[in-house]
Amino acid sequence: MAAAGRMARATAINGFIVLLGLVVSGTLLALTGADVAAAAEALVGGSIGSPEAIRQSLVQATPILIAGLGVSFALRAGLVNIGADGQLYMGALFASVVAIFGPQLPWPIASIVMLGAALVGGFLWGALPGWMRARLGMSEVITTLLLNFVAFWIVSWAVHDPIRDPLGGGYPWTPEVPDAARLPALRMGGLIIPSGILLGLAIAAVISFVLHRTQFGFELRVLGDSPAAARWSGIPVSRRIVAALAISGGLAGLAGAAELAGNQLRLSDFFSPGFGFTALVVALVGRATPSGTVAAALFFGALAAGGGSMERVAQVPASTGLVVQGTVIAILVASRSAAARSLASRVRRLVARPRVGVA
Amino acid sequence: MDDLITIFWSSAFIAAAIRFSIPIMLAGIGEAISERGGVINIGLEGMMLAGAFGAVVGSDVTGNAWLGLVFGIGAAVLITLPHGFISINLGGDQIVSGVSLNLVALGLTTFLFRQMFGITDQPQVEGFEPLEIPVLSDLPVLGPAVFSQSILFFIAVGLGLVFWAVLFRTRPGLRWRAAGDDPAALDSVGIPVSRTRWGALLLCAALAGMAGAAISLGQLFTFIENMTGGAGYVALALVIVARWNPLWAIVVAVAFGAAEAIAVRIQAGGITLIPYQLSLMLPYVLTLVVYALAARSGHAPRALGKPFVK
Repeated sequence: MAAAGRMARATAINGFIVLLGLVVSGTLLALTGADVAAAAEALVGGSIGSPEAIRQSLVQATPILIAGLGVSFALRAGLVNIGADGQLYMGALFASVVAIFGPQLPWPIASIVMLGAALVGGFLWGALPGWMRARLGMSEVITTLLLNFVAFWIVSWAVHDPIRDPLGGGYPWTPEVPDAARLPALRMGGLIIPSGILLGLAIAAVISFVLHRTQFGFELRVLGDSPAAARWSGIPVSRRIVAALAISGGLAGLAGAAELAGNQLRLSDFFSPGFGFTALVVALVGRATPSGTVAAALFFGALAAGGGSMERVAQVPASTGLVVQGTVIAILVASRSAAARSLASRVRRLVARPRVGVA
Repeated sequence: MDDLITIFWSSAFIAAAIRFSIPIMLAGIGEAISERGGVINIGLEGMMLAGAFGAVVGSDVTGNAWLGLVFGIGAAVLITLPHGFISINLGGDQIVSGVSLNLVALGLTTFLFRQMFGITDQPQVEGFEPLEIPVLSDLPVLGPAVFSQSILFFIAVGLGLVFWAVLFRTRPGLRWRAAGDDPAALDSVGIPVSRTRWGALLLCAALAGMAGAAISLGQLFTFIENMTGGAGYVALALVIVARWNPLWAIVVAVAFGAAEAIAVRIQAGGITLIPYQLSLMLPYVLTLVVYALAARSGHAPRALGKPFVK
């Protein structure tokens, strides 16, 4: 009961923060001369106004949901993975090499093999900073950030040279993923649901189970809450750190494959418009819980889809969506800072005092 | 082999390496100071972008590159204020706050630039042209390479020297280092940690603003969406290799600038030995290696990234 109450309060607070973020960034944009009313109308219409808008929102939500779940997973173990973008690129690289240049398999085996390859690519790219943290004492914040760029330039080289589509119209990108490996869209009622988002929901359920129903998940949470307690209680801290970042990276890699096989079909060096950073935002807004991450990913997916329509319909650049994202995070960090926590506990004490007298 | 020597030991190549080093040198010096003071700035990229944007607007409005530079510094400082408040006064997470700064800077500069100039109307503004220093620029090879740079290069090197001296030879520098190494000790002698950290951070923002201006007013004389293109992250890496020392930041910046110059050469067809992406990847790999070696040696400020709450 208490847990449910806490959850409801946390959800309400995050909803309020997102709303505040919208208001603050909307005001900021209005001050600089944007037609906020027209923009808001286009935003809503383009994100949930029609079945096609909803499909677009779900397509946009897919990579940030799956990568966001990865970032959340590491956060629960107390690790800040800001390298989801690089892991996503590595996953998409492994996926495209296997799906396009490997043996041509029938559906759905081709899809499964491709997703598996992406998982491996991201896993390795996440295990590396995990190992650096556990064995060499290097901060995962710095290493994952740096590895983003290493991954990006590897992919950039690959799509310019060895895996470039010779018939790609001059663009440095790979051929399209074959039909058998693509992630299909499902018709449900009047809606079109991309299967990638269903994959994301399934992963959220699995993560929730692992975190709360397994010894491994329990140990990761202890590690996240108190590294010292984890060490005292005999948890193999180094191995858990590597595992947490590797799984985190694996999921980000999977997000790359879902984006590749469900949306863009070709890998290029403009494949990710910063999915990894949005994934971090999604994980933070979702308080690193699977359900919260799902809600946040759907919201930011809708924001991205609506942003596109804002640009087309209301001539407000889609980049304003970044301002909203940035503002939301800024308010979020402020609300979770040491100062805000001590303020909150002071308020709680003030509110709680009269009750003591009643009891 | 001889071919490579003629490429690398040429005025054109060294000049390009230095030209590319100016923005990351300025930002790296600033970040070294800020990190010495305990505040890490993932948002360095965003500060630079704001600086690049502000500088173009300022130069366009006033028709003067120096006033443009002042605008650029102002824009970078302005966009850093929320980050400072969150990470210094509120004790919030510096990494996440920095990510937010980057997102807001990218969104806001893109939006404002289109709002002010439209999509088709690309302004060409007054910038910093290379200047020929008499006598010295006539030296063989190095003359045209080192002494025919924009004034910003000499400012950057000068600032590197000055802030090295300030950090390691003066009282304010000692306080900055204390704020990043042992803030509790600084607090116990009655010096407010927050004010000290604010000083280091604002200095970093100002230098990052100059760095952005060095890209927009020193290279392209206009603004383009996301024109910093990751230079802020290169500067973050540079600080690690330079071991948080402004003097070394000068040297490492030129080395990293050379990597960029090599990449440009490869793309132009001058070198076919390696793909240009490898050259652009090299600074990050080198940083990882140096960081791996330095992680245990304790060069990093001990309270880096940690909020100080009394």
